[in-house]
Amino acid sequence: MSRAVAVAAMLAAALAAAAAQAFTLDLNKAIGELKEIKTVVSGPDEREEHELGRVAAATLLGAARPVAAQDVETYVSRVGLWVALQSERPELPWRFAVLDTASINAFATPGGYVFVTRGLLGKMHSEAELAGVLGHEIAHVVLKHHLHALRREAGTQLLADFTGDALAQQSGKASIPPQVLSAVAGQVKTLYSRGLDKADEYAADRLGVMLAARAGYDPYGLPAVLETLDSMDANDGALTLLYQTHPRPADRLAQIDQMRDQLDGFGVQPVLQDRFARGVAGAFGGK
Amino acid sequence: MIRKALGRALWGALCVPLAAAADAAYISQPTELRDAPAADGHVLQSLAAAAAVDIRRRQGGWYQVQVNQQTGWVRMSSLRLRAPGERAGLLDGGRALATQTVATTGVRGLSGEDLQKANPDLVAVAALDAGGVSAADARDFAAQGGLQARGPGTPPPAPPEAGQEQGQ
Repeated sequence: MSRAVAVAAMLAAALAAAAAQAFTLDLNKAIGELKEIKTVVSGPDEREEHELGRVAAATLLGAARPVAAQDVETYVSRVGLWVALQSERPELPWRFAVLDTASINAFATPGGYVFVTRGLLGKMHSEAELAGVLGHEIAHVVLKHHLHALRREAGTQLLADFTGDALAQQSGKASIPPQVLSAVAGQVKTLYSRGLDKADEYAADRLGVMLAARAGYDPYGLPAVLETLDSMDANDGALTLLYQTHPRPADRLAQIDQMRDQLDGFGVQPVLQDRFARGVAGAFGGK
Repeated sequence: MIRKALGRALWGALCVPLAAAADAAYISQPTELRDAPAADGHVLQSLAAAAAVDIRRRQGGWYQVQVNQQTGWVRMSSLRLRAPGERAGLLDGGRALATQTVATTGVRGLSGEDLQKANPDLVAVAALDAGGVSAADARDFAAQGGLQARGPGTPPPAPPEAGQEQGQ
């Protein structure tokens, strides 16, 4: 064997070993993340989650009505459900609505209620961008971020009373006492005004872009929306609540950029710009 | 001929042309202008931080831009849609925005105060519960859009072709 060939063979072996190691690392990471999601999903009390989610959704809907345009709600629901079906909790009773407010924001509640504001919809350019934003919200539900925060804050006794009352109401025996409902709604208001931990937001970004990609969309829809928000005047009143509750767009973009190799692995996927324009026109006075 | 037209239609579905007139953007950290939307694209020129560019369109994590009479691709993370330091500095300075007055003209916003005042509307939730779309509907809708589910175990497809510029 000539020296050049021997060197080439050694080099090839070293490269193969490095590639194998990198693959094993990736695999271990993927398995670790999957395990994390599994334990999150198989929590015991889905009923409590659903009842808490109903009160949280009711509180948000008490602050802003859904847009009247049924075709827009149907369009957003189709995109949202398609993305949610790629998640680790496809079986939840997912519901999507557009809130009729100029404020720029999106919300998720336990149990699978997802809201995007008309103001945020108006900043988007394509269905892939919508899928990215909905993916972020769906990720909050899948990872039970608000549920865990509410359980931490509200206390076991209040939640036990509330869930018991909600079940009694469903079986027609009693109704939820106003003071219990009001106490739970108070916890919801505090949480949604203050926001989740930053770490939860970054985790929702990471899973959200993956969900959009798994649904067949260009994974860079959410980053594109964040770039648009980054370019806006931070003192714009429409952004106040979003910025009170989320890390800065530039910081979120930097975090998502760490996933670039993973995301680029999906190749070029559709953005569906025209279908988006048709789908949301009804929220802006179009038909 | 047909293939070219199809290619053009597909390009339209995959790529986001921004505003009709080129959008101004700025390089946020030193980077390279490449001849293809890929890290191994040939380097056309180096771009310094704060360089102004005009955006043509976006494909995945890359923007096609024009700068110094040259058209090429830069990574999304090296580009910002605002000039450096242009945005009002309140947020960057770390001061609370909570004291800012909501100045949305004539339209009701959704602020933290609005949330605090909200009366839970369980009837609206019941209406939402009664609506919704079916999984079959969502799948048909995805298929109509040419969306293909890519399970977590799906191997990544071939990387995007370099220099897909025909028909522009």
